[in-house]
Parts: sequence; structure tokens; C-alpha cells
Amino acid sequence: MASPLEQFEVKPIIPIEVGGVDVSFTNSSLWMVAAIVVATVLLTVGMRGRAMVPGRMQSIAELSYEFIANMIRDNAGAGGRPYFPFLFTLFFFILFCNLLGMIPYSFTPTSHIIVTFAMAAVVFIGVTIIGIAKNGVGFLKLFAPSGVPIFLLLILVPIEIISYFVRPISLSLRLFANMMAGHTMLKVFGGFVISLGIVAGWAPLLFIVALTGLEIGIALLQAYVFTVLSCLYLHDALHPGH
Amino acid sequence: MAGNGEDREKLNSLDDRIRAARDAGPDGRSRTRAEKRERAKADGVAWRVSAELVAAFLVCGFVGWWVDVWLDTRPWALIVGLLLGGAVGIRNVYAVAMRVQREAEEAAKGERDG
Repeated sequence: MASPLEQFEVKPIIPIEVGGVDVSFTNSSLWMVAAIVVATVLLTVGMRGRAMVPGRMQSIAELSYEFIANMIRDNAGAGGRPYFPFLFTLFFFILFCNLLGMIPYSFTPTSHIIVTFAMAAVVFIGVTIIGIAKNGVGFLKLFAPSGVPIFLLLILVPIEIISYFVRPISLSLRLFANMMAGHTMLKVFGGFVISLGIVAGWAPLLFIVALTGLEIGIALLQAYVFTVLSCLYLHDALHPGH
Repeated sequence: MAGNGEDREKLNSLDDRIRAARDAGPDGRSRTRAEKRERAKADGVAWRVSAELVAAFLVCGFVGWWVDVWLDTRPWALIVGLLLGGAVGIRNVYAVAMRVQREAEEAAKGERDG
């Protein structure tokens, strides 16, 4: 029987090598491209009518715009507006990577920590640059909470600095762990259905049905959590004093 | 028209009953929509908190181990790293918890004022 981890194997589709570095177009690349294409088509086709009274597709596009705009306003404040395009793209890329991964026989790019870490690193580096560019040396106030005695600062500042550098890890770990655990569990219970056969295989099959619903919920929730945390980090970079 | 106010009252109470029935679901046992939304929010918070704790521990432990290998001081840097990681993790969980509580208080205030 196939191993439940076999689904995470990255296989090259078009082998490419540049200067000894393997940059093949893999199944992971394919599903990332698919996520971008589906998201782009859904939003552009949805908005093509530009009707005053939106149809079904246009409603989806408009609601998602408002959803992300509100998320940024609530979590990053008014100063977060200029970063809307990036956060909107980030949310929809993760969401569609997660959702397309729910299709049987597909591949979930977000179940690889290197993919989630790359996104978290972009957020981390970007937010740090924004923080320094907007506040200069004042950005360092982020590491020194105001109104704390000097001797406590000696302990708190290292802790604050470490906690800042842990951010990209916790951000990427959360998304990756959720996606990988969910897909492994689905495969394991799928194996139970086959091995228990027609006699007792119904029980795990029912469980898989429930689990699939849960996984779709997690796909949405984790895309949301990733983007909300990016907004919160952006807020810290824009207002390091608090 | 004396009956007008009475009719409106009747309609309002019908509205309330429809809303209650819709929220209760077909079997009357399932959670209301508001409760479900609360649940989803709580799940999100739980994930934030647990990942925060684990990530700080792992990162600091890994850095400690790496310093050990580099300076040949096994196991002292690892021990220091794990203790520091625990402290950072708890600090992060505390920060998330404070933030969630502040948000909840603001939401409650907004509901009262609005």
C-alpha cells in the first residue's frame, strides 16, 4: 500500500538545470501556477461585468476585496492601506494553494515548510525594512517596552529580540503543520477504508467525509491566520512604540 | 388605527421566532451561527498560541544546539537555549492572550455603545 507521506513527494515535470542548480518545473510549481491562474481568473472574470447590482461572481470578488480591506484596517490600521495589493495576493495565493490541494490526486504546495517559510521570510524582511524606513532608529523601540525599569530591560530586551526573530518560524510552521497533518490523516484513514474492505470500511469512510469538511475549513482558516498575523507584524513596524 | 401597533408587535415577535428557529437548526440542538463564529475564532486563537509556544522552543533549542556543536560546549548552550526558548514562548503567548482580551473588550464596548 502507498505510504501516507508519498503525496508530499516533489517530482520534476520539466527538468531544468542552471549552473548546477536544480530549478526544475515540478508538480509543486504546477499547483502554485494553478493557484495563481484560478485566483486570477475567478477575480477578473468576476469583475468583468462591473454591474451596479453584482451577480454571483462579482459578489465573490467584491466581498473578498472588502474582507481583506477590513482585515487590514482592523489589524494594521490606516497606515496599512498601501500594502493592500501584497496582502490580498498573499491571502489568495495561500487560500487557493490550500483549496486546490483538497482535490484528490493534486499536490499541496503549502504542505512544504520551505514554501511557507519563503512566504514568511518575505513578510518578515519586508516588514523589517518598512519599519526601519518609516521610523529609523525609533524602530528599536519595538524591543524596549516603555515604562519598564532598567534592570528588567536587561532581561526583556533579549527576549523581545528573540521573539521578533522567531516570528517567521512560527508563521511558516503553523501553516505547514496544519496542511501536512490534515493531508496525512486523510491518507491514513483512506488506507483504513481499503484494508478493512466492504465489511467495516464504512466507518473510516464516514470519518473521511467529516474530515474533508474540516480540512476545507482549515484551508480557509490558515490562509486567514497567516494574513492577519502579517497585518499585525505590519502594525508593529508602523507603530513600534506600542 | 388602534390595531396598527398591535400588528407590528405581532410581526416583530414573528421575526424573532423565525430568527431563533433559523439559528437553532433543524434538530434544535446545533449551535447558533454566532456561537459557530465564536468557535472558529477560538480555534484560530488556539492555533496562534500553540504555534507561538512550540516555535520559540524549537528555534532557541536549535540555535543552542548549533552553538554547542560550533564551540564544543555540549550541552550547556542547548540548556540555556531551551530555557530562553521557554521564556520567549511564554512571553509570546502572554502577548497574544492580552491582545485577544483587548479585542474582546473593545468588541463588547462597541456592542454596548452601538
